[in-house]
Amino acid sequence: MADKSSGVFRLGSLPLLFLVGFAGWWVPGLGHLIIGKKASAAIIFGSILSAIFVGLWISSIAVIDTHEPWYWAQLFNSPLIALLSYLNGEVCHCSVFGRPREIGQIYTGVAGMLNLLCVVNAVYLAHKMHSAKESE
Amino acid sequence: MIMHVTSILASFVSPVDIGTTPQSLLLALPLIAVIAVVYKATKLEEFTFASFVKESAILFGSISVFMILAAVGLYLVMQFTVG
Repeated sequence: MADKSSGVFRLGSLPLLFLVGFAGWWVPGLGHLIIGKKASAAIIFGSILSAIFVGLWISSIAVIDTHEPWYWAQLFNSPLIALLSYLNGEVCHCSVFGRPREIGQIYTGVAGMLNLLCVVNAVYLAHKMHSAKESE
Repeated sequence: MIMHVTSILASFVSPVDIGTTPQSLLLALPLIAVIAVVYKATKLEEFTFASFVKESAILFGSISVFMILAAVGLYLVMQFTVG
């Protein structure tokens, strides 16, 4: 449990929730780190980044394709995914087909949906902690 | 050092060769492990290493068994309907 009398818990409810959600979206696990759940943050960071890197390694960055519906799930990993999409479109011009593409899409897409789950969970926990502090 | 960095980056711009084989289904296992670990990291209130590993392993096994049962069920449906 985080020290509720210090740090980000001095923020109002809405800015705190926004900060936790936005940070968790940019870097998987950062939302949990802000609210003091260090172990969860480390596990989330390591697990989600592993899934992203394995997906990108299997299928190359060509799997980040803005024309595919999977792109919206991949974007939940981090806004930096959009940078990879730009790199692929403007610099690399890579392409991938068949089974590697499927597996890469599944890995990166599922990692994105897991990060969305973590963001929602971090915002919920921050709200719970903030409410508990205010009721004291 | 630069050669190492270059070769690591190069591995992300060319896909790995994976055939459409039954063995490629094993690639589901690491993803199931990630799902189980991340889900339990968000759900567990009391965080001890032993309980976390135990809960994650149970969830990993549950998902794996359910997927195997679903695959067997679909296979049987296909056998009885299409032949």
